Amino acid sequence: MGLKSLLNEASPQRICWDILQIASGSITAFFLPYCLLSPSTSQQQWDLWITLSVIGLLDAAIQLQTPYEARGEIETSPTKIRQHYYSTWLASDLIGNFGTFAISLMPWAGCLQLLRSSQVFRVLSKWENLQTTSPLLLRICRYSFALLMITNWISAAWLWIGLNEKSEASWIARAGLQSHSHAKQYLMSVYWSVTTLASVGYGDITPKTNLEIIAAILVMGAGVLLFAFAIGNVVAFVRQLDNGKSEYRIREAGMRRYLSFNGVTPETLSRLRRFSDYRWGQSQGVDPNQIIRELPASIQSEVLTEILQRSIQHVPLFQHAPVALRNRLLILLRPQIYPPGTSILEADEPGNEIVFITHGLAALETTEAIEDEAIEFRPGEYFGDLSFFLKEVRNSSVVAKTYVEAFILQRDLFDNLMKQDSRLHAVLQAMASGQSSRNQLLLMAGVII
Amino acid sequence: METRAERIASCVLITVSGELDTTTAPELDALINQESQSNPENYIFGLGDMEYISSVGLRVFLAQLKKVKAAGGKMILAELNDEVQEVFDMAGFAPLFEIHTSLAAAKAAAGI
Repeated sequence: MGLKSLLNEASPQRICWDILQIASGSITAFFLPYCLLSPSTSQQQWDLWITLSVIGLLDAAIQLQTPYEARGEIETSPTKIRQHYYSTWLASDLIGNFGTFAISLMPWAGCLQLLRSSQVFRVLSKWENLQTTSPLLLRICRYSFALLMITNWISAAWLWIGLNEKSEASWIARAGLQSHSHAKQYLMSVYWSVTTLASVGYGDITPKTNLEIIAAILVMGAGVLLFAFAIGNVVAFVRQLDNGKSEYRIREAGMRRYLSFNGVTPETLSRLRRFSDYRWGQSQGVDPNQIIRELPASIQSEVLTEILQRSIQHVPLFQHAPVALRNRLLILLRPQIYPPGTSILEADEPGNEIVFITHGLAALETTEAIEDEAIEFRPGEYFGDLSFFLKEVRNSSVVAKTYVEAFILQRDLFDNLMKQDSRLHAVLQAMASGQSSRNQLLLMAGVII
Repeated sequence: METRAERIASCVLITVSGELDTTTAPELDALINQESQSNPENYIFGLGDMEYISSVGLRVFLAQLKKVKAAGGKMILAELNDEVQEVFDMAGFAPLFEIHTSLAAAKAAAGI
């Protein structure tokens, strides 16, 4: 069961394993250069690199069996999974993880382990594709990691130059750091690389030898590119953060300008603005109906059921309907939002709709209370059925007291459904039995809605 | 609309034919009131020939149901056609009444 869970990219076990890979890649990226330049390597450090290499090789074995996604399809064929892995991560995994064991043969083979850092990018890219976390956050993490990693590697290279130049000519000697600890030397190297990459250049550590000058030129060039890249991305992120809302506001403001120009009163425009704000709060400017319409019919009802879960659990029509009929109703019923004060059903109009409330409060508009109580409709309740089934003209209106969200069952849709699915009759009958006392109250008071 | 009332033992059988709407409902209401004078225990409504019922017609039945129940009697509807039955079903009123598909069954239920 444990191994099976690990092979599922979205399982909690696999996510934990991937977090371990990120930790392993990060330790390698940030701590390995420091250790490689250290005059001595402790047993603990050896143990750490060997442990990380073993974890890396285990990860390679898991990768070799993990189905992958390509163009929206999950590939489960073992041959294709292997081919996919060979053509992508095999080389870096093998070289990166066997690098530890090659140190005894070639001391600088330890550098090969740096390839293990690529695990961080692989995991973050995968999470971005799985869309389980904010893609924006993951991209910020990826770019930040790359920036810090490159800065650290430049620091390591600068320290290596300092340690390998003739002792009196090196920047370490000129800065008076010869007798200082390895940690202090490394810290000053990081300091130099950050000030150079950021184009600050205090001038306390300056290149003098040819190798140092060449390195400084390259680092300055890299700094310009890196920081331009970083700033460009930060700007893009900030724009993306507010993009949806800005676009929505601009569109709504344009519509209000047009309406104002055409004589719509400021009061109505103010109500319209409040409605826009409400709609943004509910759907973030997205038109769910349009999104749903663009989906294949086979998954429309599935998506609708899930996104409307909270709403439909109150609606008796859905509670009584078998799954197939409920899915059909979900696609065909028209969702509607009514701002406070607007009429949901008007008096003196034929009863051609039944309204099922999913959110908000509506009330019967009468001059007198019926049997000393105001007739109100809340989520889970419905109205319009009396005039609908009696085929009569309504003699009262129902008004939204707050923002009301509702599903509307229209007569033409009802007639079509009744012809197609005989179960609808039984569903409506079961639903109506819970409505009898209210309908009796309304009817005896002479109210037809 | 045509209505007819017949007293059978402690029951009154009222048959309604045609359309029970705003204009004809007062006529039925008046007939029921007239029959109520003799204090029948149970009411049977034979609706086999009733073609249509409006909200006002429903109100007549609901008002009478309230009275009959208060007096401890029975109010039985019989032979509703599909359209009328659907109105009772969809408005949620069907469970309030005792409804039978035949007049014979309705009479048996009333004990006559």
